[in-house]
Amino acid sequence: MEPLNDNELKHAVSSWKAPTTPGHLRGRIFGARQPWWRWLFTGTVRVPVPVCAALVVLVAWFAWQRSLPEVAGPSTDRQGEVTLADFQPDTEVQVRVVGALR
Amino acid sequence: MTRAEVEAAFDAHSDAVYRFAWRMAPEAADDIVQDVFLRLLRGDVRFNAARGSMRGLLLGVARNLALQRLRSESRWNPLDEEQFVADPMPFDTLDIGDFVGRAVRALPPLQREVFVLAEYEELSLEEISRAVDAGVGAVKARLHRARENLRRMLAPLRTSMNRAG
Repeated sequence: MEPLNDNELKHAVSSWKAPTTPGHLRGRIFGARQPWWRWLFTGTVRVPVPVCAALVVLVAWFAWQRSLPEVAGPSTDRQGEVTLADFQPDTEVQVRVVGALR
Repeated sequence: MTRAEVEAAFDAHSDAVYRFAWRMAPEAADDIVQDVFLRLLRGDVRFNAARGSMRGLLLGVARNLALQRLRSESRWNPLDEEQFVADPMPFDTLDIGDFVGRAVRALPPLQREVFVLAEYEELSLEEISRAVDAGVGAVKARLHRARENLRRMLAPLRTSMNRAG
């Protein structure tokens, strides 16, 4: 039997049609659309490992800093300041001689 | 790629990927298309515009998945490819498309994939070469063998086509 020539092959091949993508495939791949706030409960965030490691180190450093006892620095309040504003002279002077005059 | 970009790629290329998968492994076409786009979504497959078109990339991934499936089902042995010489197929159907489909699917997978990509998806030899990870020379040789085999397998169609005018 004589094989088909180029034109006959081209013509024959074009008669084999393929279906288009079934509609359900989109849902299988991307899932049904959800309201944005659902993401707050079900969403995930991809964080690169170096960023994650840096965050862990930072949190540990803050925790360590807070656990140290507070060191009193130079006081900046006015509580310890000595003024003469409230100075009152003694109203009742009692004189006592403690040594004899020579 | 972001989810929106993958969805855009799905809208633009899913039909081409599905057609290809359906012609290579019809019973697995749904799974293959799903796998292709999930891989893109997860970042397992990365698009680089310098290394070809998105369509070529997706068809290449679909091709690998289809061959994996054929191999796992022991329906493909690369060593059989070279020796495959087709005989005319008995024309026992009224539907020419169906007859052609059976002939194309009877080709060995490496011949079938280049034939489908060239004839139905109209990819250039360079694009096919990237998609099937083979040199342009090998692609040309496979395409030539596929056409020769189909010319013989489809020979009984001549009378039917002549009658149809």
